Amino acid sequence: MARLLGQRPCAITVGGEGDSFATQLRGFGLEKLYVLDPRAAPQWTPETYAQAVTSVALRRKPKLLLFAATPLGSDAGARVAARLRTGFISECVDFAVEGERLCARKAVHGGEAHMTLRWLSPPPWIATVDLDALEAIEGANRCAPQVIEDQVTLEAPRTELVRRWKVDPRQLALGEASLVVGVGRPIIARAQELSRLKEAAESIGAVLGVSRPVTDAGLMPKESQIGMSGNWLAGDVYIACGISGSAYHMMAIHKVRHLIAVNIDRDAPIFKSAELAIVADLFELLPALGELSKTTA
Amino acid sequence: MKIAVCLKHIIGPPSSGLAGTGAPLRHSPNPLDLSAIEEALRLRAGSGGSEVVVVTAGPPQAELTLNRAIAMGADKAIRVWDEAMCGADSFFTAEVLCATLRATGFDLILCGSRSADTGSGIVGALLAEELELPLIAGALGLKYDERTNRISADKKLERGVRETYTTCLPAMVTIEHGPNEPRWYGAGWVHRLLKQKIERRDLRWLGVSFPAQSRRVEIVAVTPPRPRTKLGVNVASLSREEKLRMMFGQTRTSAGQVRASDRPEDAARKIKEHLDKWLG
Repeated sequence: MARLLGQRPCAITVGGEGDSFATQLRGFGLEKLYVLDPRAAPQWTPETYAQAVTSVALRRKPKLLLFAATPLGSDAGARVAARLRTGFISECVDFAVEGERLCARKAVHGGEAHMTLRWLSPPPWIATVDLDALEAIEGANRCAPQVIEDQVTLEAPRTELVRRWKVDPRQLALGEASLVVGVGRPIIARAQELSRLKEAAESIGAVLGVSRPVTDAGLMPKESQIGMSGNWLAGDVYIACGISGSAYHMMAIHKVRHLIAVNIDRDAPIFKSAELAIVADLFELLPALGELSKTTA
Repeated sequence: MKIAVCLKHIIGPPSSGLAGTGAPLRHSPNPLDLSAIEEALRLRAGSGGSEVVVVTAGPPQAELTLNRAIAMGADKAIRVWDEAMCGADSFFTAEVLCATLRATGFDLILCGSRSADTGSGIVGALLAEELELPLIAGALGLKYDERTNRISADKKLERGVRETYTTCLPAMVTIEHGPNEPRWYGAGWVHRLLKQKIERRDLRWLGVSFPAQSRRVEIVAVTPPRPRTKLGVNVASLSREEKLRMMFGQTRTSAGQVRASDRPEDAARKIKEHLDKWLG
């Protein structure tokens, strides 16, 4: 990005361990790392992050401020843009330079079209970046960024964080779960095995989903369907068992980072896009996997 | 308590596959804004003497959305529109909404966390900034404590992490899709639709003029979606297979396929190894 604009890349972080963090960031081409004192705010919430970033931005005058399009990044980014009253483009998937101006492309109408937008306001331009569109590149330059301790004084926050907790991963909706086990057509003929498979999925900390034929057969409720007409996955790992990989199914899982496919048919189309292809019977494999994680845990 | 809900009416392209065929455009309320109305109605039911006012800045078609809100149970509906607002950006929309909200009064302002069309998700932050209100963004459900006059909201983060925030009223809260499904129609909706009139306002009535610096971002082009490509990847260095994979939107880099057709225990161990690596 910086090369595109002919500028120098810098980053902002909060925390006392600036130096060790800077060492980790070595090779990613950052020039400066602004480290803020974690004691500047009583709590680090989107509100206080936004205040801190705003005050650094006012002082350092960046051309472009990027946030990750995560819940925290989107929240803080919008607040900073509102505070600075400057152009804001969310969930960008691509950037381009036209003359002096920067353009960003993003999905609109739920991904049915892409829109290219251009910043007209004076910098800083603010954007949140879709993390799926990025790949960390380690450059040849192995220098650690220069660490700059920056002081910020913040206003008293008006929202208070009272509780932070984690939902049991097995209780999550399919779209949010990071590990999902999907079971396909073979289960219909052996419905009595369903509870065993559920137990196995639970013991590896996964949410169990099924393909469309299974919900159509009435074995599982519609909420556990994975597919274009059901749940779209976006987690880290998906284990597809006895699922051949129809286009509708594959469309709904394209955001998953790692795909493991288990099938007895060694020519199942899903093997083409799987990272780990396993020719095995799911009714033997899943319980074995469950046992294995019980013994290791 | 007076709860104001800001709505967006979305005019979208025809359903996929029909684009360019002259099929009619799709009209719909922004789904997250319906969730915001639902939360407002639940709060009203929980505390006596509350009122729910819905506000939209949009052309006459936007009354479809207001009618839905009335049918759901909103007490009052206001539509602001002026020809000058064609192509207005989030900043101007927020300014118009602010002026309207100041005129109607409020204790709590709700809206969806982003719209389903362009979805920049900044209007909530702008309203909070302009009206100097505390902001909770992306709330899943709301609770109001009458004794302390505080509102508390759960917020969804990644990987099943949740946070609860509280703040004092008056406040601004943007709503994310949570456990409360928006109701389709509320009781007595026919009567309400017949009886309730939508108030129509223009910019002169509000005392807002079109700003000199009109837009901060402009639309350059709208194109069919291109497959996802990763930024910063040197395409020339990829093999043909990898290029094809990228063209078809597959960003998973194959870690080399492992075919294990041995005993299920061995296969399970293999999966477990990868799970441990990938899930950290």
